[in-house]
Amino acid sequence: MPEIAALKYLPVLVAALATTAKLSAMVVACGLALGVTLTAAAHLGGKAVALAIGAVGYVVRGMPLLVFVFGVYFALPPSFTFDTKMLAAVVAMSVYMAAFVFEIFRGAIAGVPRGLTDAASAIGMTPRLAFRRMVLPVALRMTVAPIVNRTVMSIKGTSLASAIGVWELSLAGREIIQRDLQPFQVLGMIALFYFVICWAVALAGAAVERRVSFEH
Amino acid sequence: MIVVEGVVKRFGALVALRGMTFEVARGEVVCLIGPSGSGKSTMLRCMNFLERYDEGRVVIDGETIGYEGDGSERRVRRAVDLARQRRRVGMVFQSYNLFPHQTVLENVLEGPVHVLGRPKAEARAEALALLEKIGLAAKAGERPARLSGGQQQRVAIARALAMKPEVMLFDEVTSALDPELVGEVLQAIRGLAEEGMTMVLVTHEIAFAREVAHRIIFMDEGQIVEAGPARELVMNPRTVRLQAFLRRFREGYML
Repeated sequence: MPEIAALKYLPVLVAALATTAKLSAMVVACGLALGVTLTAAAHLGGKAVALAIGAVGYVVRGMPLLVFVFGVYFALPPSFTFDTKMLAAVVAMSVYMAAFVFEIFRGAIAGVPRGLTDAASAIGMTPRLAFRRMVLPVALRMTVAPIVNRTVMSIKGTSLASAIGVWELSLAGREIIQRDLQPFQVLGMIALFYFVICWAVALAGAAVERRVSFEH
Repeated sequence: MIVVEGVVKRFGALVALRGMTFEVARGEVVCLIGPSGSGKSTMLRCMNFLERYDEGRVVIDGETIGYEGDGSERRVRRAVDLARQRRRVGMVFQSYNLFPHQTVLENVLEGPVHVLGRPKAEARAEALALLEKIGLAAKAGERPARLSGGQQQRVAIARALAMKPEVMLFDEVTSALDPELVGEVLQAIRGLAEEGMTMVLVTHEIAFAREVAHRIIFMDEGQIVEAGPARELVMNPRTVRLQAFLRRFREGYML
C-alpha cells in the first residue's frame, strides 16, 4: 500500500482548518444577520432607503469577491495591535454575503403570489397583519434552499482570505505545496475538508427544507 | 342590501367597467355571466375593494365600500377601515388561495382567531363543525397541498364562512377544477343558497346559475347587457349578444 506522504501535514492542516471554520462561522452569521437587517430596513424604511440598499447591493453583487476583499483590506487603517487581515476578510465576506441574502429575501417576498395576499385581505387582514402572518412565513420557506446554497458558497469563498494573508486552509496548503511539492495529495486533503463542511451544511439545509415543506 | 351604482374601473387606457349598476337583496343569489374579459371578476373584486374602482360606488348595508366622504372630498379608507369592511364580505377565488403553510383547520381558524381575536377553543369548535359540514373533518390536520382541488375549494369556502360574513362572493370557483370535482363544490354553494346566504357568483356554469341563482346578470365589455330572473334569462334571452353567448356555450358543451 503506497504511503500517503502528505498525511504528516495533517496536524498543520487541521490547525488551519480551525481558522477556516472560525472565519466561515463569522461570515455566515454576520452575513445572515446583516442581510436580514437590510431586508427589514428596506421594508420599513420607505422607498428611498430601499432604493439605496438595492443599489449598493447591486454593485456589491456585481463585484468579484477577491476584488471586494482587497478593497476592504486596503481601506482599513493599518494596525500593529489588531489582526486587520482577519477583520478585513470577515467584513468583506459578510457584506458580500449579506448583499446576496438581501436579494434572496427581497425576491422571496416579491415572489409570494398575489392570491395569498388577496385571500388574507378578503378575511379582513390589514396589510401589516397579512405580511406577518402570511407573506413572511411563506417567503421564508422559499428562501431555505437559496440561503443554504449561498452559505456553501460563502464557506468556500473564505479561501480567498488567503490572498490578503489570513492563514487558513488554502494558505496553509499553498505553503506546504511550495515546500514539499506534493500538490495533489495536499490539495486532495484540503478539498476533502471543504467538501465535508459543505456537505454537512447541505444536509442540514435539506433537513430544514423538508421540515418546512408545504406538504409536510 | 348591496347597491352597485355607476361603477367605473379603468386599467390605464382600458376601461374594464363602464358604469355598472345593480342591486342585490338580502338572501338573494345573483350570478354574473359573460365572455372572458367582460369585467365580471373585476366587478366582483370591486365589491370588497380588492380592486379599487374609479367612479360610482358599491354600498353594502348603507356603507360605501372602500371610500369615505363624497364628491371631491372622497378618499380611500384607511387600511384598518378597509379590513373592517372586508370582514363582512366573504370571498372564494378561482385558484383557492389557501394559506399553504397552515393546516386545513388553521386556515379556517385564521380569520376568527387572528383577525377577530376570538378565543381559540371556541373558534376551533366552530371551525371543526364547518369542516364537518363540508365533509372534510377528517382532513383537518392536512396541508392544502395534499388535498384535491375540489377539497381545497371547499376548505376555502369554509375559511370564508368562518368569518360569519353577510355576503359571499364567488369568483369562478369551479373554473380550475377537473370536471368530476365541480359537483362537490357546487353542492356546497347550493347548500348555502338554501340557507339564505346573500351571494354574488361569477360563473361559467350556466346550468348551475339557472338552477341556483335568483337573478342572472349578463355582462359584456364592462357593461350590463341583459339582466333578469335566472330561468327566464337563460330560456328566453332577449338580446342578440346573450343569444349568441348562450349558443356558443351550448355548442361547446355538445362537442
